[in-house]
Amino acid sequence: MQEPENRDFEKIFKEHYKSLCDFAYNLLQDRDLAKDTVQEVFLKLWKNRDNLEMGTSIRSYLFKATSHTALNHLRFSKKIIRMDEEGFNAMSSPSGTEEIGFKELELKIRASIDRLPPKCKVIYLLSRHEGLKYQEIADTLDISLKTVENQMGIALEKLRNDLKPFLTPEFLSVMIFIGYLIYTYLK
Amino acid sequence: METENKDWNRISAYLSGQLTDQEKNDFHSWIDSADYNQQMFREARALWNHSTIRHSMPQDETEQGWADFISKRDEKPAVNLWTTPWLRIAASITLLVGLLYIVNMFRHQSIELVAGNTVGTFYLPDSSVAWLNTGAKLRYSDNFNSGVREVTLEGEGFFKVKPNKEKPFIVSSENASIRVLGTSFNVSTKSENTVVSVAEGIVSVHGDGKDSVILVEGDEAVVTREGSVSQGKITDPGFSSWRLQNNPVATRERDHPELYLSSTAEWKKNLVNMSVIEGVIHNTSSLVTFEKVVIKVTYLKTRGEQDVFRITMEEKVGPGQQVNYQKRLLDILTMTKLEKVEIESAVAAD
Repeated sequence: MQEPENRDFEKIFKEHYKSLCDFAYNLLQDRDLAKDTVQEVFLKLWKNRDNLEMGTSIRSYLFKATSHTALNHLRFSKKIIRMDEEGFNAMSSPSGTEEIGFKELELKIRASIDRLPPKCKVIYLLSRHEGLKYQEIADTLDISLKTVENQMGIALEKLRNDLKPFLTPEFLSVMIFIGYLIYTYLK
Repeated sequence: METENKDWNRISAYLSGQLTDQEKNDFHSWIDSADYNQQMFREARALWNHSTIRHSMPQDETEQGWADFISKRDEKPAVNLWTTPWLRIAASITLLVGLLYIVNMFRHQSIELVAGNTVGTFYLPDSSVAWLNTGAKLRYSDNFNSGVREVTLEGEGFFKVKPNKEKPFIVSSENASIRVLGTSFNVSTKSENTVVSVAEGIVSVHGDGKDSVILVEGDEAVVTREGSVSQGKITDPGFSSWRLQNNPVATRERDHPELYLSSTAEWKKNLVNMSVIEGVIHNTSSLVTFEKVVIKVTYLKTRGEQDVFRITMEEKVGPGQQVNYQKRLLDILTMTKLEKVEIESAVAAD
């Protein structure tokens, strides 16, 4: 009875571990904390393995649980933002193209995102990086739709205040111009 | 302010694809109704589009993770101590203290920036820049930008403080407290003393006692462990050169000038119908000065043929600075249109 259960669980663990760690790390920026968070999630899953409803997708359960646990950690721990060579080189941008002068703005924006209040940061990243709809975010974090709406507004406003000097009309017009070039190229 | 909140909510809902078609129409009308709305939207969209960077774990540690999981899962549960009354009392007291601690934490969260084994470049909430030497730490509270801008430093840091007369910037180290309004200076707490060296601006340095001095560019102060402050001229002109060594950001900036130079340009015909290009080059790097910037300009002539010319800037552009350029073409008889402006190359100045 133990053996097959164990093996299935191991399969699920190994299949999702890295992506959940990356996801937690994106929220927490602390390697040990990210690993602890994912361990907690799997321990909880192990304890509740008999109670899981058949219909739930394991991935979505794990994802929700990780968001929840990470948010709790973010709230109750001192925020530690580490900048060392490893962390720096591990940052990635899905847009493969190196647009002139943009990388720096993206770094500054990321630094600003990492300074948002915990709940605000998690909500913003769930929307922007994971593409979740507001209702999905509300379900994932057990909060109201209104809260999600407000927090998204707060996130953009704080980012804009932090980055005001870099959002001059001149700077923006370069981006729009190059964006237009890319758009026409892609057409 | 209340209506501004609603605006940001609306903009973010639009950008994240939440609005229905009807709501999108309303949104477009709202943007068109005022220049200010347009500007807000443009800035928000730029922020949204450039929020692409993800942090990810450097290595795949799945096997180790599984091993850790197994050992945690198979741990014997602790003996139930809840039955003895003493433990229950102790637990309630701990719970109470814990609650108070948590309530306190809710009021202000503390943020700690740590430089590992390379120089770290950090942007503070007010857009000031702090470079931390290896092993240095900088702490600040999340109400940093509300009144006074206070940070606590351990190790060595260089600060480029954004000017703000209403919000003094205060750096506290173990024995000294440094107060500025907007300036650039180095603080080193390596030995038992704190050494403050000013690169630009005016700074006041206080020790633990009543000693305090005012420093200007080129001055240096030493605060001893006992809190006494002495002042003099900077002895080592390379006092902030550590920022350029062992700094991955500086290395990237030196190796990829094209990522840190951006150009805006205006193209027009002047009164004698010569094509004129007037532009600005921005150096968006944190530390590196560039020179010999070559700008490649592509433009279209009357019959649609493309032509190219280059402008080489001899001037140096410092970090965060900009420089103007201009060129006239002797083409009074042709009609022209600007196609694109690119930074072709540049060199890091020493």
